[in-house]
Amino acid sequence: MNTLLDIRDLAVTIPTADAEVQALRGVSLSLAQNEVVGIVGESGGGKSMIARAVTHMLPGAARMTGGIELDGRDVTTLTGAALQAFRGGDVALCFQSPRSALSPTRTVGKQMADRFRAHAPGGDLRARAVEAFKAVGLREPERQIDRFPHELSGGMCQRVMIALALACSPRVLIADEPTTGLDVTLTGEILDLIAAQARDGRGVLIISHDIAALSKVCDRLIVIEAGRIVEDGPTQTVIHAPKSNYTRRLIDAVPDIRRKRAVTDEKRGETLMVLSEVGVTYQGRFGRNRKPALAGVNLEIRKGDTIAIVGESGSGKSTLSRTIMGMLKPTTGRVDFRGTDIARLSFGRKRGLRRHMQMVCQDPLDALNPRMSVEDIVSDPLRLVERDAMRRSALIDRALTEVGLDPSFRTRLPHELSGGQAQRVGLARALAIDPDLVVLDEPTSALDVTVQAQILTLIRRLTERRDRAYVMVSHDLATVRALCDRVVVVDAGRIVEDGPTEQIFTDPKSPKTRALLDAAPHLADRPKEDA
Amino acid sequence: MSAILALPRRIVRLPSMVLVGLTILTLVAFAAVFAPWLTGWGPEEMDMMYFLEGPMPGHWLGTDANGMDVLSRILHGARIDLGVAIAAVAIAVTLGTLVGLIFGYAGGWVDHVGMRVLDMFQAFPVFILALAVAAILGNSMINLILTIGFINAPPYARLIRAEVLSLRNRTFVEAAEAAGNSHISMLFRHLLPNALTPILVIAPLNCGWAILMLASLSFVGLGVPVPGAEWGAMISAGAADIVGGRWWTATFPGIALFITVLGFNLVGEGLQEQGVKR
Amino acid sequence: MRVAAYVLKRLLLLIPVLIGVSLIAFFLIRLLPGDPVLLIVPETATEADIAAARERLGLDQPILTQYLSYVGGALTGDFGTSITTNRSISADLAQRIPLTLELLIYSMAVALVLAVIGGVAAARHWHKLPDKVLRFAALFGNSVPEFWLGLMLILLFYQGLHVAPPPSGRVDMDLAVPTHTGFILIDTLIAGNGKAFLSALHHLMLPVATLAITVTAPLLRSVRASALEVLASDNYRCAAAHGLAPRVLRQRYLMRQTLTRLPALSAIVFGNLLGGSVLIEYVFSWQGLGQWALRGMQVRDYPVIQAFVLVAATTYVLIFLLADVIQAALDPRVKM
Repeated sequence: MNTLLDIRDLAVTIPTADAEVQALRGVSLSLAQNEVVGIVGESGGGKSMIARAVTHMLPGAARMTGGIELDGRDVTTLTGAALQAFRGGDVALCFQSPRSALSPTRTVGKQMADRFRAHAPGGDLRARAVEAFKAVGLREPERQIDRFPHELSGGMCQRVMIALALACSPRVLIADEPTTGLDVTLTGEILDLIAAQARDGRGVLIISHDIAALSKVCDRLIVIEAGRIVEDGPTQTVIHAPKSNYTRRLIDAVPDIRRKRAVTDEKRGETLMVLSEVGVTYQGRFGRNRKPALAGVNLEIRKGDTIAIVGESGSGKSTLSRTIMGMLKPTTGRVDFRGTDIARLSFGRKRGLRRHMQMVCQDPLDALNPRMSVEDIVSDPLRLVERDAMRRSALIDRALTEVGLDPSFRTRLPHELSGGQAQRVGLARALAIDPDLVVLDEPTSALDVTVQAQILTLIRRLTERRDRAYVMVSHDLATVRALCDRVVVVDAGRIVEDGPTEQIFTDPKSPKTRALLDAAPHLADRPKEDA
Repeated sequence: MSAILALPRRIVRLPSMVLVGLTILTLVAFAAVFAPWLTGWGPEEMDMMYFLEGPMPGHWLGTDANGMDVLSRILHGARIDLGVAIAAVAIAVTLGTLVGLIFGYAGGWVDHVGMRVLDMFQAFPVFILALAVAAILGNSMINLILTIGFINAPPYARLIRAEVLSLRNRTFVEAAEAAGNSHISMLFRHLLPNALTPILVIAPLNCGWAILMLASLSFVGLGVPVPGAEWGAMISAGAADIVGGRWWTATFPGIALFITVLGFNLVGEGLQEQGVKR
Repeated sequence: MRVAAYVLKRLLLLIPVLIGVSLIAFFLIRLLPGDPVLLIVPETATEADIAAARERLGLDQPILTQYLSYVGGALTGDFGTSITTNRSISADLAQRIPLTLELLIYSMAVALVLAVIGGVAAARHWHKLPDKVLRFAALFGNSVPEFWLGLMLILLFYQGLHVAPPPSGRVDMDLAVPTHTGFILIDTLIAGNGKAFLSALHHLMLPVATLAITVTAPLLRSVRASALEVLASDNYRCAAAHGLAPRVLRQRYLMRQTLTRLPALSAIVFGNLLGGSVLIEYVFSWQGLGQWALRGMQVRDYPVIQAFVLVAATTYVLIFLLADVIQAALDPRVKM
């Protein structure tokens, strides 16, 4: 195999107001022809800087040292027309979040034609664009070609992005987090498409935080931690015999859907909440009714339950959780909490409910008021029941300790917390008042994998006490299997399956459940001996 | 509490534009406070020896057609211009913030009707509405403050409302609601502190416009009446002298006006730039 | 077709706004402390004189009747008569509006050209010399009182350097041009009077420069800011990373997106220009709408104030509509 791209001892320093940030330190890697290499690491690890350094797209103030060679040619000193020909012609970049990386005021067909004109003019540009879009699996390319990016779906934008990058048949294709924001099914398709470009002597570099997804398409994996390469080797070796601790942590944190949970004794207590025939329809503008977000939902929640609500994005699982919390008034049906229909309570009475039910939100950093200290945040619900500041203060300490935070965190502001700490504060806020029902809305999806594992351990410890009911909304089936007794599968606003966790995982009745199980991420299997 | 304690740390990092602006404004405020002790002349005191004389010792910036000392009038003018502008902007900010907060939080028909009413007021070019209201109400100082204050309120209402609407999509607002906060606590603990940042930028710029508005009204005779020592009125009185070559009566008050507005704009734009960087 | 439907829809939406505007313009006058009739009649007037004046002005009618007859008049172009000059307001408007429009249009055009060229140049040379110079100029334009700037320009170019004409009139005294459109530049061209045309340009120079300087500043800042935003955006960086030619990048990717925000701000700026024209006409003795309205305000000639406020607001609202249509044409994301 011929080496195509060779990076030697690359270091990038970015000066900030406070100090200099070492984004990359002594990174050396190579990419061969027809090879797919994955670069994995958590956010802030510096992995995107590699792509930026190669294409001369580093932020203005950044300083770079080290060598980058393509086919033995130094490309760090290119300028002017040579740089222009190199970008796109030799190395093409697929940007993260493709929708914002496409010009909003130009049709995708014209953006394609611009690329052709820059590197390989001639011929019927429109026909060539249609051909290029067809090659990346864009449906009805003749129609999409005259559309603007905002008229295309996220998956379609990503395909357009790939087509644009491939427009000038580059030697190296670099994809920066190509699957962020896509659901599991699309993630697989897009990664397969990108990896398939490693042919005719082209090399492909994929940058991602998702080691499980990368392990399925890459020949080689490079793991980056804090700007340094900690592991570099063939995919199978890296995921099955990792040398570095960091890699092992990343792999252990990948939720494995096949891992059963240790069954604890299931005690079901008093009935807390009953949803009967609940339907929610969002009012469209000018009274136009849209499709119902929820229809005919029946659900019983008892003390001691740990229930998972799973479904694809847009299936109605968030609507269901908000209805349970009484934050959304159902159009039809009843939501009874201990015998009272909370759907029809006034704002004031609903506030009274908050001493019995609390919620933990998805994006932990955004879920905390940026101007309030941790103690103010945690004391928020406490002010409903405890007027005395001294006693409130004691309760805050207890709640923080319960979620594994030192009481010295009380005076911190949200921006001084890490994602994991912020989510602990969110949990402390929900638990401080000792509620009977806690709704967890995707409690770990916005966290880095290693932090996810810690938060899940904490949640498991809490649920195993069985002193209240937990409802967890999630699209992550592995987590669900590890944590919950019961699973409710939602699709298109309806409950399509509801049963004990193990039964649903081993013997799914609904085709939707089966599809979800199939699409769940897991590490690539060891190749069979005969394969 | 801790948010307030964090403030000094931010001030240290203010960009130089803001510092220059603050320096200018401090000097103008100094002039306003100590005006009576800085020259030997009162703002409406006539020197019967010198009418329309150019700059000279004793009258460092000359005298006007009534023999009044231009420097003394400029220094005293700082009191009126700065005072009216700040009072008017305070009214505009308070009123606009409350209205915007309520519209944005209440939503529904309150918001809908309220915004249509704001639309109607904003269908008038600001200065023309100011001219008409000032002409009709007459030009007492209180009326001028109220007029300029009310006319500048709608943009704040819009700004705060937009801020509140976008905050309502933030998880922490939903979380606060789910945690059981009352309406008052939602409005003043969670929404208001987070919606105020853009006002910090707009308010200084707005003080600059308010001064320009007051001076413009006075310039065409609908603001502070003669012989009040207000910069716009002084420029207006001095305009007639220009054609005769006596430039100082209109030029110097204009420079004072320009520099003061510049001070406010430097602070506002500097803060804006700071905000963009974050 | 799509655009026509959009314009029609927007025009329909204007109706409630215009009703509101007419209500405000109408009641503004009636909010004033005291009886408007007392402003009109001489101080020596008897009770009978006052009653007669009240009847003559229709002020004895119920307020709703007064409003309806006022709106009815305004719709047919009849704004009543001035109570101080007894002249027909409509006739005055017809005569004076072109003078003011001429000032506004030229200033706006100059400002837009300067702002777009300057703003994009500043953004492309971010934090370098051209950017610093332009930012300083914008700061000056934003801070300088326009009426004082006008006076200073007169002081410098007329009084000092003698290169500008005296601040009065639209052409030199000895040149008379028959009125066709009311726009002096067009009228002089129709008359084929080259000398008068040049003289008119000469007279327009200082007032247009004054207005343009103060109006360019906010536009320049906005163009610079949006150009910077585009330059830093993923979509521009992506186009650059794919090796597009600099000319294509500048014209198709930078310019187009930068301009999408301009119409909305231009409309607001036009409102400032409308207000500013009152001051500038006063400074340059320009006998346009502003001077006429100002005189009406100074003597509290309330039909004049009312008509001026209504005309200004209607113009402003229509300009906003025009801006929205242009924006929709420039930015495909705007839903028509």
